[in-house]
Amino acid sequence: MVLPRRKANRMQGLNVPDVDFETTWGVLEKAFLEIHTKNASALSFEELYRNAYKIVLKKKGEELYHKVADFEARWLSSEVRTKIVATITPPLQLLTEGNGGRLLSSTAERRTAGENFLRTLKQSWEDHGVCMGMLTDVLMYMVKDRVYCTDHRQPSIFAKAMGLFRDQILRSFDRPNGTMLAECLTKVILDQIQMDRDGEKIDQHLIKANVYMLEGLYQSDQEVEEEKLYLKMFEPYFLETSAAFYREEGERLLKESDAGTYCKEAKRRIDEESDRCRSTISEATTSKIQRVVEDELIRHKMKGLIEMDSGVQYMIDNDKLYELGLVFELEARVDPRKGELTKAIVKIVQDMGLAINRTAEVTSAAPPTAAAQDDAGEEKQKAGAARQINQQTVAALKWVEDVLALKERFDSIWKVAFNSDQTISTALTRSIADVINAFGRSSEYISLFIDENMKKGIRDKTEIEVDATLEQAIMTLRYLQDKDIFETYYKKHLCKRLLLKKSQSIDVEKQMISKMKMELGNSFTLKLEAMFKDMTLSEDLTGGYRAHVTRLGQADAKRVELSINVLTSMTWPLEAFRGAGEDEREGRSNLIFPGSIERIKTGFERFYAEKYSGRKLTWQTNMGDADMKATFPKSRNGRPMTHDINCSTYGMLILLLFNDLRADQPLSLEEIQTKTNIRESDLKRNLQSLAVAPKTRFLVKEPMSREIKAGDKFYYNDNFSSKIIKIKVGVVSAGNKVEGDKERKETEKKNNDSRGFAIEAAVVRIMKQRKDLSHAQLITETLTVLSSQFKPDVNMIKKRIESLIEREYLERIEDAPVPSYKYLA
Amino acid sequence: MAKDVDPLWSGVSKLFNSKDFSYFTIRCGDREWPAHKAVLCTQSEYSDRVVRAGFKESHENAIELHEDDPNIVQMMLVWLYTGKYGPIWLPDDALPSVGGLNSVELHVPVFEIADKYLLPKLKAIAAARFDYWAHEFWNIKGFAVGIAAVYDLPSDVGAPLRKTVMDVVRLHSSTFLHGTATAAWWFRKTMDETPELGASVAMLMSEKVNELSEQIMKLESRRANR
Repeated sequence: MVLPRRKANRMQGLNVPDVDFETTWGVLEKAFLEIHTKNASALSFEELYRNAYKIVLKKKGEELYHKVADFEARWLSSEVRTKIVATITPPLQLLTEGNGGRLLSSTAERRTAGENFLRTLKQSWEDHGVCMGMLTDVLMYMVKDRVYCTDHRQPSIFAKAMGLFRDQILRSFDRPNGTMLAECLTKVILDQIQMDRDGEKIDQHLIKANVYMLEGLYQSDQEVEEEKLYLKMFEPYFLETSAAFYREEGERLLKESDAGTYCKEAKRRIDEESDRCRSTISEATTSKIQRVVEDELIRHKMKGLIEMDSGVQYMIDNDKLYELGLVFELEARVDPRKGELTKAIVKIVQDMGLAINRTAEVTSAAPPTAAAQDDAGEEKQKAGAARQINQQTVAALKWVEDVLALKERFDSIWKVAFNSDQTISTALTRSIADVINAFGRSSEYISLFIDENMKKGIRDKTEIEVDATLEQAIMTLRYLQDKDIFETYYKKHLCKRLLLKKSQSIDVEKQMISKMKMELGNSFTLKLEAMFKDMTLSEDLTGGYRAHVTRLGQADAKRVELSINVLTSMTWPLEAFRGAGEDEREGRSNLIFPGSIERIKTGFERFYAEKYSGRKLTWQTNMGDADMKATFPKSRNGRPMTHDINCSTYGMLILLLFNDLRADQPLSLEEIQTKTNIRESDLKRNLQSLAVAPKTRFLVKEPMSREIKAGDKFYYNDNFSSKIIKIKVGVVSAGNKVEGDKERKETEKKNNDSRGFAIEAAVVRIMKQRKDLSHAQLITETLTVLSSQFKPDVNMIKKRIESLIEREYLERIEDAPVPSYKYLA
Repeated sequence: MAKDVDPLWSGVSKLFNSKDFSYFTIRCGDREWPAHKAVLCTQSEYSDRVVRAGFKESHENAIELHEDDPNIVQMMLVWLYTGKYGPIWLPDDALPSVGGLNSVELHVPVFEIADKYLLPKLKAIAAARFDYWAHEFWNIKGFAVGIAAVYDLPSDVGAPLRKTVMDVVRLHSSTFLHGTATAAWWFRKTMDETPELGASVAMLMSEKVNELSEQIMKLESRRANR
């Protein structure tokens, strides 16, 4: 019997010694050589595969692996290396050996030589890759199915071959004691990049291909990601030379060009480096090189750039918004807080604000012009004083407008150049607030600004314009710290506007109040609103009283009509009407009224008492005015004419005295005072209006002089002549403009007192709630509570606390670790 | 056969040995198959390399397989085109030679060619089929023939098949070693000619002896305890 084995057609097994390793390898080796010399198309894949397969089946895989590796090493070290080394010509040798190499040969020489080197290296690498691809294809049975490499802890044959390229080419030297080829490569690439930076054309693809090679190779055959040759042998040097280059370039630019150009250049360089990473080296480097350029051109130079002659100050002075935008963009890259720019802007705003404040101070304190000096007369000095007050208003208007202009200017810069950046916005707000609060008279000036606009400014304006003006006022108010002082001034100004009917529009006044309400809160406008309420009530009262009188049926043509404002005493800052140096008691001296006036006064008092029992009316005669009809015999070209005269209550009382006198009957100053009981200073001022002022000289004074002196005599002026029917008598220095120094001190004192109360109230409220608290905490909380009204002085708080302790609202906790207080119920 | 055949696959199956759309030729011995790169390269990485690697075959669009059995190559191609395994798909004129093969012996060369051309799925199918046939038809002469083929393969390549052989021998060891049937005679003859098989059987028997003596010890100790 015969075994029906069919060995003839089958591959020979282990037992058959028909596979000779050396012979089979010989076939393969010859083929590999053909592959490397690009003659693969004549070879049979099937044959090579089959031969390798047989070797592996015979368990000679490892030998095959090493044979292949040896073969590759030999090939690379002889054929390939020789070809590459041949391209390292003298220009490159100079470049790679010394640091001054760049200077010793021309750019064109180095470029050509460098490109030649890069091209040969690239070609070798790509050939190597292709050949190794073919080799591994042929060796697929060894590589793949048998998992030969992982079994034996060897790199795959492909990885091994890549490693061989690294060891046999990149880590070899161009000649004994020469330069390592990898170093040559790095230096050549860096040289080419430098040419690129200098504006020369280079072959980016060529460099990219070589970088690609470095990215595909590793320090060891383990192929650790962090150990790519690119990261080890190229990138650090690239970053280092770039840093040196940009450090120098930055310094040169700062010296040679203006800030705007610098910004454009820096931006261009940064973009250029990102582009370079994409087109020439590796995108993995983008963020690192950006960091380097940003460090050298921005982070380390920002301060210098901002402080250049053509820096931020210059840009703001000359409205170089685009350049400012560039500076902003530049710093925004490296610092989300834009520290340097913000610092510079804050300083500029503060400087400009300081100049505005100083101008306001100079304007307000300016000596009244020449008029005061040429005549030493006292009258002149008074006129000068009036002018000075006027000057204060001018200063106030200018100050508010300047501050607003400053704010608007930087707002628009902020919008256009700083991309509406939040951080800068905060800094701007703080600086504007600093400017406003650094100025001692800000509260007063803001109130004056509104006052002036309410009285004159809004006269010919459209609703929108008026609203814009109000908004401006609110804007400055928003920054103001001492809102309580503002409130004092505003009340004072509002009081005068309302009582003297100086306001252009009550509607606009109310709009302003509602705006303040929105901005500063209910409690702030409470008292202001009460003032308006009083005004409305007074109108009703006046009407009611008139109807009441008519009902009584005392129809009398000569009857005096009364228009009255009843003011709640705590709400209205009536001291506003008192001149400097007057105190309250004097202001309310009991006047002597003629019968007709006295009748109507008591009549109203009765009427009012019926309506509101238990209320006491105090007559503020110093604030009243009167409309009178007066006939002068020769007024209209020598013929009689009746004029409507409006004058103060005092003026009325004085004039009424002359009703009963003949034209040649004089009254002396003393007589007038006795008959009216008007305080001397008020009397003098009113007489000045009635007997000195040329347009309202209803009385004749003897002797003729500006100043009213004791013993002066006054006559009815029957020669009075005027073409105007309605005559308004102004009273000298009833000025309601800016305060005088004395007045200001008073306001300040009052203000400090009310602050004292506010502090005490706050402290007591806090302590009542907390029972006991450390000193530091109490101070902090008090500051927080009061911040919406004003910023209290810490010393003042301390004093108030002392005072509260004295009055036994609080006591010190004796054995506390930190100074603390306890609330005494 | 499967009732709901995927239309794509059934379409591809029709391409087997068809000249339609054929841009490649496979030759082996005196046989020649028109072949299709799209089918081959997606099914087998070896084919992919043949087509792409840039050697002679890439340019000539043909491959000549040396030292392979055309019938086995045909089976491999059938599997690549249709996913079907077995001589059932062979053309009539091929049947005599394949039909002459013992079924058990058929799986071994398929296994071997699947290993050579890196087709692990086909390799696994062949191994499974061999396992089934060996357990089913161990008592015929063909089993001994199959064993010889298995032991011709290098030990690491043929490991799954050798395991099957040992499993069957373990189940029927006394029949194989002491029986008088033809199959037993053929088995013992193969063992004589194949030293590795003999060594494996010796190991197996010594294991069996150990198992037995352990069982005896257990029984004895149980009796002593009683």
